[in-house]
Amino acid sequence: MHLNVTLISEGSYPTGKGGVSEWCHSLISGMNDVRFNVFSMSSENGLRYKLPSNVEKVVVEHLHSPDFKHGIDEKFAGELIGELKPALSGTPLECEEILRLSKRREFTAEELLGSDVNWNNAIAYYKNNFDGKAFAPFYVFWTSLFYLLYKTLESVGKVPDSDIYHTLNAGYAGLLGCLSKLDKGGSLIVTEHGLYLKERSFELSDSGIPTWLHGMYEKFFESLVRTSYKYSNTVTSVCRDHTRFQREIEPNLNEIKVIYNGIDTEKFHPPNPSTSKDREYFNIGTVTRITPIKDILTFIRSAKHILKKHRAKFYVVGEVEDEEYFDECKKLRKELGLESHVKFTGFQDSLEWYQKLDVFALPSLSEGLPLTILESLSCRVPCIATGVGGVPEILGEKFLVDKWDPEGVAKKVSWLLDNPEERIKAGVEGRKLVESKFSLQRMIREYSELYEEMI
Amino acid sequence: MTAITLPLKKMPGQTTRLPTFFGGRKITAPAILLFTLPFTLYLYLQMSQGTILSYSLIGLLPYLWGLVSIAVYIKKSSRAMERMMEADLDEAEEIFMESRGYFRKIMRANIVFSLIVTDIFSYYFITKGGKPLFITGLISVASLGIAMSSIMRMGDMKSTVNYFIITYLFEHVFLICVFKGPVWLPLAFPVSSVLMMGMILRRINDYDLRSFFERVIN
Repeated sequence: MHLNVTLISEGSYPTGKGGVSEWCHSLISGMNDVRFNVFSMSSENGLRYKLPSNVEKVVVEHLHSPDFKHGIDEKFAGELIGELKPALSGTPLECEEILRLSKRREFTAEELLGSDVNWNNAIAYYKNNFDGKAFAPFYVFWTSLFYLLYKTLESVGKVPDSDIYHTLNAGYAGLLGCLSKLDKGGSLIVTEHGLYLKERSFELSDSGIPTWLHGMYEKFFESLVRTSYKYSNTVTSVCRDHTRFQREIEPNLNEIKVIYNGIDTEKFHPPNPSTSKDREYFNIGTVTRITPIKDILTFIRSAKHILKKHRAKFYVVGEVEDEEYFDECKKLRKELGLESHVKFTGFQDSLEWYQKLDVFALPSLSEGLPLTILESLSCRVPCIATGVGGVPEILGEKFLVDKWDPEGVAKKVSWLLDNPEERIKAGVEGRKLVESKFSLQRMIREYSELYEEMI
Repeated sequence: MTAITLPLKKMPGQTTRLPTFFGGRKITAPAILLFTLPFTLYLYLQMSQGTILSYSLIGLLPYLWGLVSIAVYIKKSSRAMERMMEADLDEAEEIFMESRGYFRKIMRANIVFSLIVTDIFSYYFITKGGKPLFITGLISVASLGIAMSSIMRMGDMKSTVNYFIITYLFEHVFLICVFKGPVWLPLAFPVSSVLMMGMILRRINDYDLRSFFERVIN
């Protein structure tokens, strides 16, 4: 009898690309004896991966602009929505009661959103907390938060039955995991790749949403995260650094298991010795989605400094996730006169690129345990990165830089370019480190053991 | 990670949709112009230049009127939307009521205008000018109707097509009645038009701040 696991994702696998999606794909591919289902809440259409043969069922709950439908039984809506009120104060939700009420009749997220109760609650909350402030941004904000929450409740029945529900973050996906566990039985594992709350805070700072609404947003997601922790059998983190923050959020959290991400060291191998890197210029690159949290702007600014001393070309390998930010990047590249030096390649086979690079740089503002650093090290390409999240658990101090520090990035990249012996040594040691501590086999083994413990 | 919460960045006023209170699309006016062009050409082939000029002017009046009133409305509602983004709940209610009042006035004026053109001018020109002129009136009134419908229904193609079909059926029945039916029968049309106007204005009255936000967000 095979073990059956449902992975619950939010905006990632299998409809999106990125570190979490790659991790998920590797996990499934590496556990042939486990049958997987995938439930994904996503605003994207279409699968971006060829699913492994041990995936039995894929359900994508497609998210679109909120719609409002009228005519729901207001008494029912009142009781159900009433149970969601703690979300606004940062306290965990009572999932047993939410589940009991949601089972009483069929409903859709759109009906809950169009109910009088939803409108009246919004008005009451506004008057109590923000009276005198602009109402329009508040109500749009309210709708964005609650639409997805209602969508999560609506989705419970669509999650395939499993022995284990494994969520890839602690937000809406985490809540769906809690409700599915209570609804169908089984265990719940919550894996946090990035820290959901930190990432939401970053999202806020970049959104232009009025600051007086930030507290409401943070409380809302704190509630979802704490709910996920409360109902989970185990919370796993991809690095030690994150566990401190997780305990700050939920001091009563029993156990946080650290399972480092792993990569396929056979796939990500150093270039063939016959492939010479002797060129007239150095190749510096980053492999990442183009989105503000990855701070591509710092990468571009650092190029300007590096070019003062070295002949080099710079590559940003990865798909555009945020068009506005991409425009900002192109604008900066033009302003700095770097159009012939900095290239955006779009989504491409990352292995080919790692093998062409002399130095890999990742100036992200927030990270979990970035697969791209492991992949580049595995290809014996040394890395310079910001010391965020689990990065210091991979790289030593001399390879770390501060956030928003293009000069720092340039200085450390230049040091590696100036010292070929150090560069080669860093690459060789990096490969050894990945093989011993961050291999895919080790990660698969640890998750397999965890799954075994859960049943 | 890629978050599903990112759509939060899209606030009203930052969207590509025209920030009008009751919707509206930039494409409406040129589309109507494109639509009426073949009929205008048809008229040129059928009639003398002097006649066509005067008839066309009369026939296109509702279209021009509709275009001007819609343009003014969009401009006004854009300003109202800017104010709305800053307004607290009470102010938002006031701005909404003000805009709704203005919208009602525009609708009333347009409907009355269409009514006059459809039911009185058309009757007069059919008996005096014949089919080509009637077609001009028909198209211009339908165009106006489509434009207004597009605004009310946020440029929803299905609604616009429905409105288009209904308008044409209505006009054809009217045409048959004028040529074949008893003399008093066409009078039923002004009456039904008045009733329709009442229904539309009532619908506007039912439209409140909550419905407004629901439309903006959707």
